[in-house]
Parts: sequence; structure tokens; C-alpha cells
Amino acid sequence: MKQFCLSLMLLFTLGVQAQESSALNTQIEDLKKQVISLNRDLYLLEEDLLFPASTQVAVYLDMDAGQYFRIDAVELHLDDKLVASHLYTERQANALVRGGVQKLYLGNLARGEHKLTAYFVGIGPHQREYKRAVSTSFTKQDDPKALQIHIRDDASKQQPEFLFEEL
Amino acid sequence: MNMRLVVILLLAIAQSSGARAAEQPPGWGEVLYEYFQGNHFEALTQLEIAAHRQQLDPSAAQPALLRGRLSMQFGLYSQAEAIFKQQLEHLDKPTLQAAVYIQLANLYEQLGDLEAARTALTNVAENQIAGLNAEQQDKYWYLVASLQIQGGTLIDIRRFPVNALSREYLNYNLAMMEADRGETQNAVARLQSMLKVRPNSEDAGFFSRVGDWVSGGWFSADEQQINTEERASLKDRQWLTLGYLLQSLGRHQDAINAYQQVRQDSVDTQAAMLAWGWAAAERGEFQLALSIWQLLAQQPVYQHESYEAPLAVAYAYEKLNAPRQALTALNQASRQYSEWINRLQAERVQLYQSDFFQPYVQTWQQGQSTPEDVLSPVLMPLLTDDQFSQQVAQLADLQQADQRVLYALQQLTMFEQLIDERQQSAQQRGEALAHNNLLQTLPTLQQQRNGLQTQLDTVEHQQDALALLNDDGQALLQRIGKADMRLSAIEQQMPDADSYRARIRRLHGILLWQAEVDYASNLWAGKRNLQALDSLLASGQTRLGSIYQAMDRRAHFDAQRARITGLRSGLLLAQQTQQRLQDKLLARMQQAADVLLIETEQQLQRYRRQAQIAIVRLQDETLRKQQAIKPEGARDEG
Repeated sequence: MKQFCLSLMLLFTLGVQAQESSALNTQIEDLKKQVISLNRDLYLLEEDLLFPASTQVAVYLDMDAGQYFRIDAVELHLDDKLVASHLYTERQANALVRGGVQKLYLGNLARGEHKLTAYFVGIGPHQREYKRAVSTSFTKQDDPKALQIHIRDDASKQQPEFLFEEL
Repeated sequence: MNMRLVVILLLAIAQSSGARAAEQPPGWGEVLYEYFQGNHFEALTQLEIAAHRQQLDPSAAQPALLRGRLSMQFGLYSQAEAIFKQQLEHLDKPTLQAAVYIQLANLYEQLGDLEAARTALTNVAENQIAGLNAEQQDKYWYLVASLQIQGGTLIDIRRFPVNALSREYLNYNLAMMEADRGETQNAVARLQSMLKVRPNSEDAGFFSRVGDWVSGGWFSADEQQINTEERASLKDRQWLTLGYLLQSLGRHQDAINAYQQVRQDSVDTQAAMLAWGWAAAERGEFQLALSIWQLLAQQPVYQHESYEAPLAVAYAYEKLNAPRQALTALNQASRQYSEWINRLQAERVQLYQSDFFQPYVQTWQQGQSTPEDVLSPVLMPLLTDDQFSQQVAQLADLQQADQRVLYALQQLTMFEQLIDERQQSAQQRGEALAHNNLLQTLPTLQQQRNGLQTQLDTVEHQQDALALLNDDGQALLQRIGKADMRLSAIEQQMPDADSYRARIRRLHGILLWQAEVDYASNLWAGKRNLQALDSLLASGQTRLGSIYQAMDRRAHFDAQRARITGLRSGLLLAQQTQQRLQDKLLARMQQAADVLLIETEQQLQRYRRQAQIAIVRLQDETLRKQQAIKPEGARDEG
């Protein structure tokens, strides 16, 4: 009888512990969700305050390459002024190759004509060091401006190809 | 492995919808960029932002499945489960459904809900498995096998690649199951057959990647190193288990051979050394046993098996007929156990300090191995406890969340200052505008321009060429008019008034003629100037609009401040919750560690008691021997 009571108590204790553990897990999940949501709101507020639509300009980079170019670094110049630079880790370069899009730059620009130049460094065809600069001009109006740089493999030329697109 | 599966799943969906990731809106690409790097929190945030901006439909298959997968990896299991279940209601492609069921089974398996995992897998029909790609199939069979083993069913593992790490895990678990059932011979045979296979990590294929949850099948040198280490550790454990089983069968030499295969820097080294000594002792090789145990006793304790070493040394001395050394060893053992017990008791006091686990959590976050100065060796067994590991992971997540909240609070303070500055400068600009009466200038100028337009229209209508004369011409016309008036006043007194009047008329005529000649060009110039004035006024109007807008924006400051206030209160609440949950988690970890310390202390006390009893026994035996010798000596003397 005593053993039975002890077993019952043990089962009860284990049950309570499992319930407590489950409740704690749920609370932790709720907190994580809350933090994600707050982080999103903070990000949006930051963008609204620091990069208002009338002056906002964003530059994105994506790659559909890998055979003729592997990215190591990029420098971004806006109106001949360095505004962003990035050295890629292996993981980041792979994230780009696999379909990721990197926001290279987010900033403010006055209305009017502007010039964007990107300098790329990496490994090109035949595993040789490869450097390339590409430029484009664009007009900034009152709405947010977004540009995307695409890096593609050009099989016919056996070279990487760098293209600008206004989104 | 799981990540790779979801990538395949996403690619399959992307292919079916005919869209490449790079051709999607940047928001989606940004999510993938973070996801492929294993930044789950950032990826989830980006996904929420993209959904908020309506750059993607969060309920669509591709984003939803990614969100489900990310939620699972970020420890949001209930959210992941809900998403997968919801998707299963919408997905109509059988192979995609099968892949999602496999994800769901994987989630349940991670949560330890084996029944739910099995149920999820029963939804994957045989014909659907054939439709999955090779890796999805592998994953499916791995889950099926794993669940069967956990349910106590023997399985055929031949379907798994020979070199696969997962096959080794499954096989090891099978051997353990057989050993538990008392089928020791079978377990030994299984382990021996496993250990004969020489792993080739380079072509081990997909299943060698079990345990790598981040890179999704793509390996850096570091990750490959981790994989190799994992394989070697598993081998050590297999050798140790084989040794134990062989020893239980009385095959002591074979057991020794197995123990010798365990690496010297393995987590199983000390257990293997102790067991090696016992196997040697079983064979009567006490000298060998003694040397191994002495070596073990000199090492810092990493495994609880080492606590037995001091007693074992004394036992070996005793068996080697060296009671004095045995007694010395026992005294040393007794002192050693007392010292360890004291250390444990001190450890139990330190355990309840809030930062006790902090260094360990930090090394865990950085993915480093745990050195003994970070976590006491006596607590090392906790590292293999699933529940404790989960608690550490949760604690690390909570601490990261806390750091993010702190950063966010700092950002909000900065934003507030920014708004203050902007509001101040907007106020100053408003005051300057009011002071200069600049806003009223433009309407006045507009009125003046309208007057000029009327004038020009009138001139054009009346064909009044003189009205379009330039400044010099107008001055001359004025002089002619004055001269005419003056002549009219003095005409009576002037004898040659007619001649003067004729001159004035001639001059007026010349001026009129010139004005008529220039009329067209003057009219055109007038219109052009009016047009230039129009564009200037329009530009001014636009600028005025911007100024008004800027002035209106002042009203947004309040809205922005309200957003900041709302965010801050949310963050502070999250901070409080985080602290509360962290305290709870810490209490549980402390409790688990305390239980382990108590058990270890009890074990050490038992060892110490054994040592003390053995001391008494040996002293007693020595005394008896002395007493037995004494009468003989006494007789000799007599």
C-alpha cells in the first residue's frame, strides 16, 4: 500500500513537472513571437524615420551565377562617393548563389539625376581573380527608389554579366 | 538535413509555380538570404516585414512552408505545427503533401511525441514515396526507422548507405535494444560488423549530414570537421559498448582490445580505462590493471567512472599482495574522496549564483566545445542530458532576445532624440517663414502677374504699339507728352508755336512708327517673359506646397512618438517576461545540476565509506597477522 502511494505521488509529481515544463515552453515561444513582432515594428519605424519615402533609395544584389563568378567583395559608390562596401563570407556568398537577395544599401538621396557605380571583386572564369566596375544613372523622384544589381552567368561569352534594374 | 529538405521542398514549389527566387520581390529574396545563412530570427523578421508590406502573401505555399520551417528551427514548434497543418489543407500535389507530412513527423520526433510522428508518417502513401526525390525518401526512411527503433521494433537498415552516419546511429540503437533484451551475442555481432566498416566521410552522402541543421547540405571546412568529430565520437562509444558487452560475456581479452580502440582524448576515454583495468583484473593481470588505474587516478576527473579509480588502485595492490601499498592507497583514496566531497559541496553553493551557467551558455552560443574551466567536470554528464541541453538552448535564446530588446530600447531613445531635433528645426523653420511673411509673397506676385497678363491682353486687343515700348521709348514718350502739355500752356505767348507743335508731332510720329515696327517682337517678348514668370511662379508654388507639407508633417511627430511609446512598452513587457522566464529556466537547470551533485556526493560518500571499511579490514588483517607472528616469536624466545 505504501509503495502504491509512493508510486502515485511520483506519477503526480512527474505529471506536474511535465505540465510546468510545457507551460514554460509555451511562454518562451510566446516571448519569441513577441520579440519578432517588436523587431519588425522597430525595423519599420526605423525606416520611416531615417529613410522617408521621398528620399529613400535602396540597392539590392542578387546572383544567378556561380560558374563564371564567385563574389568576394563589393563597393558601392553613389555620385562618386563610397556609400557601402561588403566582404562576403563563404556562407553569405552561397546564400546569394542559392537565390538570396542582399540589401546592399539603404540611404537618402535628393531629387534629381544620380550615378551609381558598383565595384565587384571575386573569382572569375578559370579561377582567376576578377574585378569589374559597372555604372548606371537614374533619376530620383519623390517616391522611394529601388535598384537591383543582377549578376548572371553569360554562357555565350563565358563571362559573368552585371545588369541593373530599376524596381 | 532538415534544412536541405525544406530547400528541396521550396524549389519544388518554386518550379511548380514557374518562379525563381531571384525573380521574386526583393523582400522574399532578403528572407532567403538570411535563411540560407541560418539566421532564423532575421529571416523570420524579414518574412514578417515582407508580409506587412504586402510584398508576399504569407498564406501562399512557398512563404508559409518557409515560415513553418523557420519557426521550427527557431523553436516555435506550435507555430510551425499550425502552419504545416494549415498547408496540408491547401496543398493539392501529393508529393508536396508527402514532403510536408515528413516535416511534420520530423517536428513531432524532435518534440518527443513519437505517436504523433508515426501518425504523420502514415499519411505518406507508398506511391507518394516513389514520387519524392532521393533525399526526401532518405529522410522518410530515416524517420520511419528511428521511430520503429524507439518503439522497440527491430528494423532492416540495409536500405541506408553503408557509410552514412545515420546508419551508424540506427545500428548502434539497434545494438542497444538487443542488449536490453538480453540478446548480447546479437548486439556484439552487430557492433562488430559496424566497426569493421571503415567510414569514408567524403562520399558518405546525405546521411552523413545528420545533426547539421544549419548549412542545409553545404559544408564548410569547419562543419566538415564537426561532422568528422561526431563520427569519431560515435565510434568511441561503439567500441566502449562493445567492450562492456564482451566483458559481460566473459571475453575479457576481446573486451580489452575493444577498449584500446577508444581514442585518448575522447569523452569515453576514462570509462574505457576503468573498464580496461577491470577486464585485465578479471584475467588476473593485476599489474596491468594497477598501471591503468594509476594512470586514470592521476588524470583530472571528466567522467564519473574516474571516481572509482582510487579504490580500484587499492584493490589491485591488495590483489598483488602489497597490503601496505594498498593501505596507503586507501588512505589517499579516503582523503581524495573527502576533498572531492568538499569541492562538490562548495560547487552546490556556487550553483545558485545567477551567473553560474553563463560561461557555458556563451560557449554553447558560439558553438564551441565545453572546456573544464567553463563547466565543472563534475557537471559534464549534464551535457548529454536532452532536457538540460534544451534548457540551455532556451536560455541562450532568451538571452539573445534580451540583447535584442536592449538594443531596440536604445534605438528608440535615439529615435526620440531624432524626432525632438526634427520637431525643433521644423518649429524654427515655421517661425522663420512667419517672420519673413514668405508664404504671403507668392499670392501677391501671382496677383501682379495677373495684372500684367491683363495689360498685355488689352494692348493686344487695342493694338497699342506704344504700350509695348521699352523703358527708353516710354521715357521719350513721356517727355513728348510733357513737351506737348507745356506748349499748350505757353502757346499764346509763343510766336513759333506751330513749328514747335509740328516738331513734337513729328517726334511722336517717329516714336509711333518705331513702336509699330517693333510691335510684333515686343508683344512676343512680353508673352515670353510672362510665360517665364509663370514657370517661376509654378516652381514657387511647388516649393510652397513642400513647405506646407513639411509644416503638416509636424503633426506626424505625435504619431511617431505614439509608435515609439507603444513599442517601448511592448519591449519593457518583453524584458520583464524574459527575466521571469530566465529565472524559471535557471532554477530548473540549477535543480538538475543540484540533483546530479547530490547523487555524485552520495556516490563519493559510498566510495569513501568503502575505503574506510577497507582500511579497517586491512588494518585488522595486518594486526591479526602480527598477532599470529608474535606468539611464534614469543615461543622462539621462550
